[in-house]
Amino acid sequence: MEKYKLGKVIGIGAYGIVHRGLNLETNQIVAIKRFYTFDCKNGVPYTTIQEISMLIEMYHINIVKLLDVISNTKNEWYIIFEYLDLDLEKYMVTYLKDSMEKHTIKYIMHQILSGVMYCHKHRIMHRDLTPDKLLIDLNASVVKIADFGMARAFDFPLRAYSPEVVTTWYRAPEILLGSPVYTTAVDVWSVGCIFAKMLTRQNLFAGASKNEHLRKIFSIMGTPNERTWPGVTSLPYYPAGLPEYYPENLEEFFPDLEPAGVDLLSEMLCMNPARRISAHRALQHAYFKKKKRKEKKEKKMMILDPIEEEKEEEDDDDP
Amino acid sequence: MNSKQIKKEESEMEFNFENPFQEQELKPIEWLFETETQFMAAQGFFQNHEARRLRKIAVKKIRQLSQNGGFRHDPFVSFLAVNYYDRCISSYPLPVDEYSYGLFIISCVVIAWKMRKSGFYLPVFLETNRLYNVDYRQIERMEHRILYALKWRMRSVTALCFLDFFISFYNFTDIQEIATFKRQSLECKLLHMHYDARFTEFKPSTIAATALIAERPNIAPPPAFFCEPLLRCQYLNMDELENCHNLLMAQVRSNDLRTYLVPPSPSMDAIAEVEDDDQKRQRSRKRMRERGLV
Repeated sequence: MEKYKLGKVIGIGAYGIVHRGLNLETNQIVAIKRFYTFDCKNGVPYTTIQEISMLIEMYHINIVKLLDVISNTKNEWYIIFEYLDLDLEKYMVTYLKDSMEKHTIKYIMHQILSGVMYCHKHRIMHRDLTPDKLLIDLNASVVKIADFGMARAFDFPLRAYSPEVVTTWYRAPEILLGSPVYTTAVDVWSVGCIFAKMLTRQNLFAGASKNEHLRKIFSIMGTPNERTWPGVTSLPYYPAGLPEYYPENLEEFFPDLEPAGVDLLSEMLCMNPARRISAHRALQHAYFKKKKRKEKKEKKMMILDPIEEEKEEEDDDDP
Repeated sequence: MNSKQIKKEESEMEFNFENPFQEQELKPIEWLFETETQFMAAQGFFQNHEARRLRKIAVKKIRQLSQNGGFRHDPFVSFLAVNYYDRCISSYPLPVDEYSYGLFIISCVVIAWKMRKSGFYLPVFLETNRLYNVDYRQIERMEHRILYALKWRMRSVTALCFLDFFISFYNFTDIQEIATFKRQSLECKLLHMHYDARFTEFKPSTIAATALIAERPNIAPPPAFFCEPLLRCQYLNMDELENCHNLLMAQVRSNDLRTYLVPPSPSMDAIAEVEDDDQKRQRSRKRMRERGLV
């Protein structure tokens, strides 16, 4: 640990404390996660093994990088991550106008979904996506998903998972209803909630308690029933005697959002997790396609530039 | 061509609304095929007779330790632990003395348990397996060595990761039918191949496919029924598949397979000596007769 200087605490989780830190050799700001050692007789803590083995497989521009793993003779474990001071929550407050721009929101959403898709492709669900876990590098215009403390690998058969994951406001209905098994769709729901928050600066579903929160979701997305979500009524916390809400028109909540955006949002906030759009399909959604067309136009214009053209020809000549 | 095929497959997937789980729809499978070789034992290592003999001892011990970790039996634990053993021992120098070697095997199982079960508790594990003379500090040091040797890549890509993907090539409609097919392939063939050192030369995907196409006792459809669908899979190397299948069939003919169908006895001594093969076979036959399997 001589290489690093521990700074102030920036986060406290179930399995460890995260400090801001400094790499004394490179002057790079890092995040240092120190795992709690509950019992020294248990060897290397299983939380440490599970989390590091998961992070070690991930290399993606939209996911924070694991830089180093350090342990000492007292069986204390530290993971060193890359760190950025700005997160999406702070960004929305500090850069109020910039962050409300339509193309900025689209750009950020695309990056979040790319990171989420990468995780899902690598058999990992984050399970706790919130704006303060999305770090922003303004210089490079990059969003990075951080804090995989609650993440879980799903490469083996799906089993019952602990219900108490994901900060309430971004929590998917299947978790709230106590479904014993859930899928990568929980992350897509959280991204949908983040999308809504970026558009209006307000949480679309904000209830003070779990039941209040559920009622809020139902009142906007409609009360799920056996037809829209087979099996929902037999979930442990399916509330009895709730009024039967009809789905609201999301357009009314987001008047400034283009129709494709509203469609994507409604697909991400689909109550039935089996019918909810996947991160992979969300990235191919029409909402992002327009951006691609623009890029193509730019490329065409670049090709018209004689210098570029020459370069292209040279490239073509290469065997 | 390859990428075109993949794209085609992806676009076809989009229309599949029957699929209940998102991750299946996402098909992380391509990535699995790309990385599977990184989770294999070093090529050629187990051609050495002594290496094979030691592995046999290790596998036996790993299977015993995986039966009892203070939790319900989890078949994935022994599967992972054998994989850690293979990768570690084929790429790094062997622990010299017998005690460290035993410690190394135990630590492979401990890490596998920790990967599978949150709440794993080492003292309970040592006690239930009557490993009274093993100190937790020694285990911890060995865990460090293994974790660093394997560069923390403990989420191994094994043959199990490919089973569901390959099964999706068959036109099964009944969930029960799929479950039976999977269980038979796993219990009859796949576990056997995983525990036999000679199969460490083959890719996990090849082993999974072989387990599915191999003949089954007392099942009506001809072997072609099992073989045909997998011939369409672009990721499989058919020569390799044939070699793996031939090796398995040679063993089935020599009746080697039966010994693996019986779960090991839960009793645990320090490091068990390898039994004489004939003696072992006789004992397992007797046990199978008792269970009415033969």
